[in-house]
Amino acid sequence: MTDFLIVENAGKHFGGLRAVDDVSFSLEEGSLSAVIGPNGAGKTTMFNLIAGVFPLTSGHVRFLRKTIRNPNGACRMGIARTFQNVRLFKDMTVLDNVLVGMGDTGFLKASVRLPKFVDAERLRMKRAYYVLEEVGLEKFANTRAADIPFGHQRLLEIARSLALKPRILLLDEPAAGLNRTETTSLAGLIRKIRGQGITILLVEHDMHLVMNLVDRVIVLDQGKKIAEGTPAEVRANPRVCEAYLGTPTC
Amino acid sequence: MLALVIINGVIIGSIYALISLGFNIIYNTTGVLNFAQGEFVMIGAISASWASAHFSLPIALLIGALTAGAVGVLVDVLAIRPARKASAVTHIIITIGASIIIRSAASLIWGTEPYQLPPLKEGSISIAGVGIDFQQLILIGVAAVCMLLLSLFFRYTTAGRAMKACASNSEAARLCGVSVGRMSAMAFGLSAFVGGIGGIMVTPMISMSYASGTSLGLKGFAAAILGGIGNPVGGVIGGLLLGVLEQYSCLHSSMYKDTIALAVVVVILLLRPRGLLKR
Amino acid sequence: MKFPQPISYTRLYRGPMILLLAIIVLPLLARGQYSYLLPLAQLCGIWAIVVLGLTLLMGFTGQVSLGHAGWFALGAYGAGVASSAYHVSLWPAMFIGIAAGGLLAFIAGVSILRLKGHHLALATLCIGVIIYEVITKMEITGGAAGLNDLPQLHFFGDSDLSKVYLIWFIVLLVMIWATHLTESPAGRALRAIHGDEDAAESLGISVFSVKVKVFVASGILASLAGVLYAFVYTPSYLGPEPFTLIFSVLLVTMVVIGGMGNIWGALAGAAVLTGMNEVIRLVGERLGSTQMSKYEELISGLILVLIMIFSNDGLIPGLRRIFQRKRS
Repeated sequence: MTDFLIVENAGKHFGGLRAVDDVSFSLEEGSLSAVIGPNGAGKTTMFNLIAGVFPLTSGHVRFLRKTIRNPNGACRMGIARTFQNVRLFKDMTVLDNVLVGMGDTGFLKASVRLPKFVDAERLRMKRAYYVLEEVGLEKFANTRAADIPFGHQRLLEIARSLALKPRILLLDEPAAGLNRTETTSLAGLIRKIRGQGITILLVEHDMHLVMNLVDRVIVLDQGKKIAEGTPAEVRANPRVCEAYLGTPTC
Repeated sequence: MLALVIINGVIIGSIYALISLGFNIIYNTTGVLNFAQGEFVMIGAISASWASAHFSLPIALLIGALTAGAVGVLVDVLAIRPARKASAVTHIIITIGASIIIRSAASLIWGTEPYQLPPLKEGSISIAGVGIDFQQLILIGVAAVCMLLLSLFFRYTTAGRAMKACASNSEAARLCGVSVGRMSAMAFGLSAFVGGIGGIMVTPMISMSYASGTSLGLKGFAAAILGGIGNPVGGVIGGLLLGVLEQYSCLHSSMYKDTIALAVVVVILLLRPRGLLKR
Repeated sequence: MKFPQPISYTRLYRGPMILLLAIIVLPLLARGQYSYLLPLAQLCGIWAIVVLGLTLLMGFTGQVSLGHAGWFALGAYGAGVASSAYHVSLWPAMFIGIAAGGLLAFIAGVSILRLKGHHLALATLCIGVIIYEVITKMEITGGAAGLNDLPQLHFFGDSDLSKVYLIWFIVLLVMIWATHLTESPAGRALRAIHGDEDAAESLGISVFSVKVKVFVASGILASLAGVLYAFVYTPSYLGPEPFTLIFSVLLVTMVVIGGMGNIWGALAGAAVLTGMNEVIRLVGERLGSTQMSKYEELISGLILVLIMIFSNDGLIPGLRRIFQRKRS
């Protein structure tokens, strides 16, 4: 048992719909895990609960023993997330998108604009540029976010989250809409991020990506957890095959 | 005292109810919040009043309502249709601009003096110890008849149902052969016609000048929001409620009764944006 | 390797320096028969201050306000009432005007900024009209008759020329402040909120609190403009006429004309509208009509509708797009 991220009997009801129903699991620091399941299994809802988007109906989610109250709080605790449908700041440049999360947004300091402040800005921009280099987008720094190709937009979302220097990164279907080449380089990027000590939790539909990448898999179906284990264990689990294919063998 | 407040409230509230009806017709068909609604009322009243000097009263009233209807269609064709794809806020600003145009045009055509119509029937009766003019009863009656006719129109006529279809899903309506442009013009025309009738009914009691439409329009809007925007019955109830609220506040201070309507809107937006009644 | 750099002080102040030059030189040219342009320039400057604040709110942060005439009114009447009814002297009265606008903008902002889209627009519309109604009905504001003989803020004398300098010097300061704000993380936060509120929230931006800050800032700027209106532009008489819903809508039009997310566009918007008003008035004078103010209103309404129809994100970007299309 770990103190890092603990999901304990988590439940989220929307009216009559039980999107997440009594799910429990925990993540160790530095691990690379995935949440999978058929459509409507509650994966993104689970993500939203960890990211503090809405409160739980029952149970707890705790990060480093603290309850996550809202997205701002989650961010401050070191939880960063990407979105299923890419939600960039479309009219801002690629560099500005990354800079948004880097803080110091006070009105007073900005109004006076002392040289010290400008120096801090310079450092921020430098760091943002490095983050872009990490994901390979540095050439697009001054391009409008809406004008870069879709695959790059996904990478930009990840870069934006990395700029927060998070401890845990939630990636919501990062491979959706990417071709084979892009998916392979995405896997490489995820491994690199993991190598920096950041804990990663993915939601994914791309089985090939998931099975060859992660340490552990958590399987949800209709809001409930039906399996958990290494990719090999989960693949052999009849309940998982049942949920996806309707037959007990895959 | 209370009887007076309620009765006077219902009387003036019927006007707000009629205006909110017109408001909702347009909103339900096109999604536009029409801030020129009050101007339709004013046009109906003033053109009828002007016409009564040249024609017999019934003809003059018809001219008034038809003129209002025509102005409504013009607003749709000239101001709303070109900007159909714009955001809701842009539509609001456009209708405010239209109301400015109609208002200043009215002052240029008919001058700045107030107009009045003779009441349809003189005299008054007494209910619960309160004197009510026949004209006021006629107002309530006409408002009720309008509501009834409109609900029948929307439920049982092809045109009415087509208009409702436009509101729920204009793409689907278009695919079914409904001309969105024509429905929109009809909605504006019908709504303005109803507004014009309201103006005609109320001018014997309150004289109207070129600027009278604005505050009436805001109150009709408030009534619609109070009852839940898009809900015609809600708008009617909202109108009556607003009328009573205003009369009640008169007891305490008659100065700020016009601000009551707007304050109500803000409160509703903050607490129950869907209005008091469920859709 | 060339890193992206924050904008240098020289580049940042290039625009304001050109503006400073224009402010110093242009009014001196308005002599003799053109001296009637000076009061016009004063009014344009006053409007520009409001439009700058509104541009930050609407253009950058994407929050629509159809009630900014209200904050303008609170500044003017706050200062006016303080001095005429309570005999407060000039500078404290000015402070009271600005504080009144700022405080009420804070209360209103905290209450309504959780609303989005047209709900927010409607709430601001109502608040603006409520402020107008209350002002026209209260006794200490003089009701519809207004206030007379307010104190005058002197700036090297009382001439129209010195008033232009005073007002536009303040416009310059506001421009510099706005430029500082937009070219900073705070400016990015505003634009991020406009882009995607949820994403901004997940990146650590306290969306609600930033919205309130920019709303209050725009309210304070509007009140400042109001105080200048009362004590500099027209101290002999202050009436409720300029503070109607129409003025709120005109302010939004000025923001739209200027291209929404553009500080210099705010100036352009104010200038274009002032110019338009003047042209209409001149044409009216030429035609010798007695009903000119009504024609002016009619034409303003027409222009407003046309601008909105052709907008989408401003007339100037719209025109730019038309020219780009023509070239290709």
